[in-house]
Amino acid sequence: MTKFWIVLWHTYKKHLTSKAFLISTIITMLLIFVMSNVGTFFSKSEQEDVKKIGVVADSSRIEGYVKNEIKQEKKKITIVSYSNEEEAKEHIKNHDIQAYLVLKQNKKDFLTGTYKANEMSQQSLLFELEHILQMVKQKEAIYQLHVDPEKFNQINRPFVLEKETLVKTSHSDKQIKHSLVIVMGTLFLIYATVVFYGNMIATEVASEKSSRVMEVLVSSVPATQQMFGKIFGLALLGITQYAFFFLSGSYSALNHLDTLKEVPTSTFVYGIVFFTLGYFLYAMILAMFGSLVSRIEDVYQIISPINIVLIIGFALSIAAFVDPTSKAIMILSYVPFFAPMLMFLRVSLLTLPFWQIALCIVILLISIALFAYLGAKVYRGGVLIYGKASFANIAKALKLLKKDAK
Amino acid sequence: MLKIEHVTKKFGDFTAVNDLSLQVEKGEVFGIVGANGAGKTTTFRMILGLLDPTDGAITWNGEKINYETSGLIGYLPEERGLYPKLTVKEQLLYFARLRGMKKQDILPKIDYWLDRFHITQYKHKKAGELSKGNQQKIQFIYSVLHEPELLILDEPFSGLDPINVELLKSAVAEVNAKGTTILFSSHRMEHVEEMCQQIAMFKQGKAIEKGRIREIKQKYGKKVIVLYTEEDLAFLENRNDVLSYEKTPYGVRIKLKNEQDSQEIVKEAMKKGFIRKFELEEPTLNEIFIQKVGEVHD
Repeated sequence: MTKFWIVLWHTYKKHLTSKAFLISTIITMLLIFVMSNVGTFFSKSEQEDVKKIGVVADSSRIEGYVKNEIKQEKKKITIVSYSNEEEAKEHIKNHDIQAYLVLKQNKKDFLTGTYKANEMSQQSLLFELEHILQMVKQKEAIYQLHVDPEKFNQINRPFVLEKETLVKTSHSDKQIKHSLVIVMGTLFLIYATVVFYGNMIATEVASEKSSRVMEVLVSSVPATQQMFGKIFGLALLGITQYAFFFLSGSYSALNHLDTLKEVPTSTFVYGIVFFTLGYFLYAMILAMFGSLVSRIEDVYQIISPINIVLIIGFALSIAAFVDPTSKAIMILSYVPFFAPMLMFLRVSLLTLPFWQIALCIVILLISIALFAYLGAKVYRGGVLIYGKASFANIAKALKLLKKDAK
Repeated sequence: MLKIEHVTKKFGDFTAVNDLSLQVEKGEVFGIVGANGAGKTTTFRMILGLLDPTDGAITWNGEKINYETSGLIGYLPEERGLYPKLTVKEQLLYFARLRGMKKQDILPKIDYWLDRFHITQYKHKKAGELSKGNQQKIQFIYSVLHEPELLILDEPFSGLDPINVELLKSAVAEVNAKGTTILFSSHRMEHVEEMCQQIAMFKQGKAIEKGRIREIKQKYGKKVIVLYTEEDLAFLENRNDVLSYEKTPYGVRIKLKNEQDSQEIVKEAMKKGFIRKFELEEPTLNEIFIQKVGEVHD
């Protein structure tokens, strides 16, 4: 068992201090930080500059409406009043204001207006002004038609469709809405991790074979301990890497704490459970496959079927977002290769009886144990076989270890 | 004592090792020679416990070798390997720890061996940057670092220049002098002849010849006669008891069917003219090997 720890630690340290790991971690951290804060950055930069807009109105009432709306909507716009257009034009020349509005009362349309500026590039400003003037127009209409403001507000109030879930434990609509991003993110994380770390395991085994270090290793450490030492060593590496990723994402997470609070705790728990099960299932298989090749160039060839299965699983789970209740998805969610992604998705979006979740976890655990057993056997023989990479090597590896009939 | 008793290993229909029995005494250097595919590496892998024999038993001091006893065994595989991206020190540490050593015990040994091979300056270099000869020295170091009781060297000298061969030979002798039993394989008969007390010749999974080198040679007999002369002795070539006739710069070299015929040949040659000197030569291992195995190998 101590040798297991030596292998684990060796694998962990070797990758942790490798340049490739450092660079990929740092780049991903930056990416996560930037992506998760993109919204905040943009809104911040817009908040910074307050726009100065001139208003030439034919009544001080309208001018008042405009100022009021801007205040209520908390827009970063300052209104400068002018009595005529010449004055406003003068201030545009001096860059005191960016643009000005000419607003006129009107019997038919209640309010007409023109936006005048040197250039029309500020789309977001125009959009905001249009929104404000729409409100101003309503107020002007209320004034001109002598409508009771209270009644108008009653008419104008949006319709609310009440939603109620009949099953007691079911996720509420609000919860699901907030979960979607988390579920999607976790699914992608499962997929990406298995592809990335799974391939790393296979490459690790194959590179030890191709550099022929394997011959020595295998004579001093039992193949099983070696294989599991690697799998767990890389798992530890993954945890370390994700801890860093989490750190760089935490700033944004703090900003969205209210949203995160809405996501049920069970979603996080199942996320971790299925993530772990998925990793180990594929790790066992890929370590086994890695032991079948003797050159690194052959690794991708031999693990490509597994990668295809993974892509199918990921595509299925994306499709399942549309209708997670479909029969096909339900059945496929019990297939070990797809279960980590599909069952996680179902569990987060639907209300499943607990036995379904338990059954799926048991199926996964049994498959992991099976592949660990088979993997360890093939690994033991596979590391002694050199030559062409092929699946026939599985049979060869098993045969190598058999005490043949006399 | 390493005891291999009636060991057979079959891979399906193919018999890699066939009813092999060997005994290597403690402290001995034992050589295994054989052509490629004769079953040497399979035998080593069975001794190490990587493969189970189909039949028979292998024991070291009466016990089966497994991972619990792997600290007692050192192994230099035929296919050498190092982690190209780890430094010399890092990988020696890793390998020795896997053989059950403690870090503080390993470090002084690493220094000793690096110094012994004059490569101390490479301690913190990545193995991938070293020359092939230096890599091979590192590989030898990791097989002896933990002072094994039994050291198995599979083709330790292949690919080395003569200076490094000598360096490695003296290291092997040093390890042996400290009491380590050594089992090694080689294609090079002169190395085996120089270093081993006992040998076994493998052919198609069988030990076709085994025992002390001296005894094997005696059994084979002195069947080569070397005549130092300027005379033309070509007429001897057609005799029934002559196997081969070879002209050399100093005379002729004749291989005979039987040792006894040598006197007759000398008499015939002396009739022809002046013979400066003649001698009966012991066969080299190479000659015995070639005759026994029937093919020429490097």
